[in-house]
Amino acid sequence: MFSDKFKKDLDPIQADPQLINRTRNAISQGTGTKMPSPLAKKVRIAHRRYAGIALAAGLVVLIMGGAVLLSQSNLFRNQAGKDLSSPDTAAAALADSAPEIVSEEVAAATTQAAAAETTTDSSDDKTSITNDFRDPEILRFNNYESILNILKKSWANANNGYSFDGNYLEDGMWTGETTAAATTAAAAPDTATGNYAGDEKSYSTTNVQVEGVDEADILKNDGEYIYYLMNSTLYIVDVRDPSDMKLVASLNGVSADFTEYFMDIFYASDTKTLSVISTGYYNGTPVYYEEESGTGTYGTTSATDPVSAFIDFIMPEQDTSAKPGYDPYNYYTPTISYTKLETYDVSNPENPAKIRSFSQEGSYLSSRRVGDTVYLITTEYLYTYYGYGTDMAEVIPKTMTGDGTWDYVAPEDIFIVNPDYADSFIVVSAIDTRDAEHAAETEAVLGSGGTVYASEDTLYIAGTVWDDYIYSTYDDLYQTNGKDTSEDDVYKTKILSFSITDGTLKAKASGKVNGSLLNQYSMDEYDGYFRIATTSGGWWSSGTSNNVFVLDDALEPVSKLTDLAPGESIYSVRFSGDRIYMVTFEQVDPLFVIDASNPEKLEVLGTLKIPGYSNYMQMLGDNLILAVGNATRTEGESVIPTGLKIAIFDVTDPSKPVQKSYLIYGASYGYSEVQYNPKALLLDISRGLIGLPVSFDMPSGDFGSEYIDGFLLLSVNEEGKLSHKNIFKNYEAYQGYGSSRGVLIDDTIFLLATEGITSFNLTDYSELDSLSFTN
Amino acid sequence: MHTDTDPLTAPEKTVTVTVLDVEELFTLYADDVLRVCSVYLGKRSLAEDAFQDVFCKVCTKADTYRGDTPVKYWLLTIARNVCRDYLRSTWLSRVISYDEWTERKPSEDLSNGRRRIRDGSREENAVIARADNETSPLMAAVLKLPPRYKDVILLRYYYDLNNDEIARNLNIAESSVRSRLFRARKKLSVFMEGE
Repeated sequence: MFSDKFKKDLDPIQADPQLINRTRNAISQGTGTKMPSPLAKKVRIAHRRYAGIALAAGLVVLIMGGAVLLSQSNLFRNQAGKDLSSPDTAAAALADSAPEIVSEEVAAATTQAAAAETTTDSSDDKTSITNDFRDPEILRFNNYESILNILKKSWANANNGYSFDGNYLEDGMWTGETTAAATTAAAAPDTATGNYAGDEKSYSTTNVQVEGVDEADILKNDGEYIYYLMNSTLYIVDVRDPSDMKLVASLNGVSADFTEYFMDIFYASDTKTLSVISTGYYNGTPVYYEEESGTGTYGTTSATDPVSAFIDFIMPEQDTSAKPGYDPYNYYTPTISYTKLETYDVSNPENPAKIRSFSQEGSYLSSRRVGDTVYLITTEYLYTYYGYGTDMAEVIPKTMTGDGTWDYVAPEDIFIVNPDYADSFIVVSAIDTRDAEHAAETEAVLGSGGTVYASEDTLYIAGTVWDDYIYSTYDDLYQTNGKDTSEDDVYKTKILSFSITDGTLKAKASGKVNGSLLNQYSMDEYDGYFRIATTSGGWWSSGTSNNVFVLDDALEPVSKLTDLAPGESIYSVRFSGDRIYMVTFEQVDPLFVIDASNPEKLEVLGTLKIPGYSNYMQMLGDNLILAVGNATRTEGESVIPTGLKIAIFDVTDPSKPVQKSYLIYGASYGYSEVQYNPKALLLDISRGLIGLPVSFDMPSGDFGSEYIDGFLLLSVNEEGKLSHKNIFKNYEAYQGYGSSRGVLIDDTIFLLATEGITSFNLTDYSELDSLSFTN
Repeated sequence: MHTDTDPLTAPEKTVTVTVLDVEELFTLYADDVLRVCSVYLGKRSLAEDAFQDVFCKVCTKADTYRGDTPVKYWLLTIARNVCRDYLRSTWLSRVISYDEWTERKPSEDLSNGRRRIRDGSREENAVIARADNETSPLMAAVLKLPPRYKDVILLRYYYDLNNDEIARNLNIAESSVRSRLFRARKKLSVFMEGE
């Protein structure tokens, strides 16, 4: 019997005590709120070692906030509630509100595209690209009604037929029709601009993915001053004399009502412009998520039985401000996240002068700086507004200049790529950091994204999507075409590109590939082509494989390489011009060297299989790769990560990559923030110096281990030989929440941590000065 | 435990509206929640994250429980919705994307005397997946179903609810339950002999 077999398979899954403990911690951290309170942060610092694991879960919960739960109550509506909105009336309502179709051609083309998807062949040809289907054109609108109408439908499609405002639509009602296309976005390719000024100064900068495209971080410096964001406070430290550091200014990033916090900073050393990104929230208008149940309750005196009627008469309901028709006791006030960019002129670091401020709705996703322009990317989750009687206009994203009022993004700046996934808006703004008069440009896309990559001319936002609709909406269509949808990837990565040449912002193209991507380093633009590496599948341990796709300027597929390392997942990727380096892992660490000199035909040149894995790869010159990851040991069938492994690969001969040298820190455990946050890497290629925050264990005495937190300094020579230089360990001044960061200025290394900053001489590692933030 | 197959109509005897004791919920329903999350998300690590979210939500939103459904099914509904949100685009990418997940702060666990880093959960995935051995063909097929079919398959074949109960639990029409079950069975036809 199916049922028995199913139970037999599922029953072994049990919640182990560790998981429950972690959950207890997450609960006790009060992570049910949208934003971390400063108090919670302090608690976390104090209990860093013991409660740390709860953070992992906490982060997710923080991001999700409490909004999701709102949808729950909907599912508990009684039958009577459903009757109020029968499919017929809902369909009629939809028909009434259907926006006019401006361009029938586009609609027709979309239908064709949909039909084309269903006929994709299942040929075994590895270079076949028919499996990757294109999204419809980017649609723009000239009115809010069209946008909201699409929202309603897609919402219903994704929520068991319940639309956004509580109306019931028949299951699977969304038929893929594309209504109301006003104009399609221009997709003019842009030519490259001049290079961002490279620097030859002897100070370290943030380890960014693309030269000329700055990434926000908690730490910036210009060789004279260090700008450091810690615990939502920005510290500006004069380090011109490393033996006598001075705290010249500090900005408190926590607003008076605890609704706003500093997140990240940018600093342009050429113009002495500092940009600070904060996130915050405000309370929106109440959303009612329960319809008035039955008749004669809540504020009326039409109760049927005399006793209730009498009680209603002598004690009328108090809440007369409630929205008529909705349960006055069952509403909530949504908290709406926003992200703010403030820019300062710090030519006088003692006294930063505010230039401008700009806010946009949505949770902070990422940001980039090219020249004077900062691109701010947020996602606004529409569930925030889920409920009965929602004012639909509320879902349109808003922006605010200075401390003015929230303005709706103009309908012309809102566009839709694939309405099936309309559960959030991605909001992108281009803000001139120096010219306050230069109005910010904003575009909002109905869709979702998680990972951002930017070249100097193009911004790419990729999001992994669950391809539910290909099963449900086109279910019958697929079956009649003999297409077995189960062979298709359910995880797909959608990519949106924006042209950002010369500080402008314009939506450009959209595309989609199979699989999900790991991080921003899985994407690259080179020679006019966009390359992306993904992992397909991922059901439990089986069925994964890895791919590299090449897309053109319009995000149309050009070529692909699939089925790499079946059963394994991508652990790190590095694109370097004509070559692509990719590390996958299951039991050993194969490093793939892929030739991408011909974008039409990718080719694996060589592989190297060694124990362990790498989470981050960094090119040192053309033929050496610095790889940071973990060593592993085998225990039965399981492979367990052990110490931190730092290795150098030589790819001079791409068909025979070799491991030149490696160092392992930690007997049973080793970790560096660099593995998951490359910005923590301190790199001076000219001097061959590598610095990274580390924590690992070392056997000590007869029992147990000693745990070491510190900052590790290594050197690498031109042959790729790694040498240990020093470890600055367990030093009070740079101990604290998170790991320490390092800055190199001439012959001094500065280590930054929660409590303060310490400077060391690079020749004998003697401490020069220490500055505490706390007093 | 799936043996606890109280129908939707049965009065909830263990937990009442006002005293939603999370420890009690852990004892009674932790496994159920994790199983449901596992079926929806397919990955142990994601399921565990969702598990935590579910209980966090239960604690912050206990007052929205109205007592007209057994707590178990209320929990499962929350679990279902949390998972749907994971799967639906943003959250999934948040969960697995380096940008949102690891750019913030690394977190550590000392509870076992030995630190284990959970960032990205990827190495952990590898370990757990192997420890769990291979997924059975049946489970693999179930995992490949779209969530809306998993909804009905779980309630019908794991929790032994009838169509009417499923309809009320999912708050969809009974005819929708039938059509979804029909399609889901079709997709699982290989394993459905004799049903």
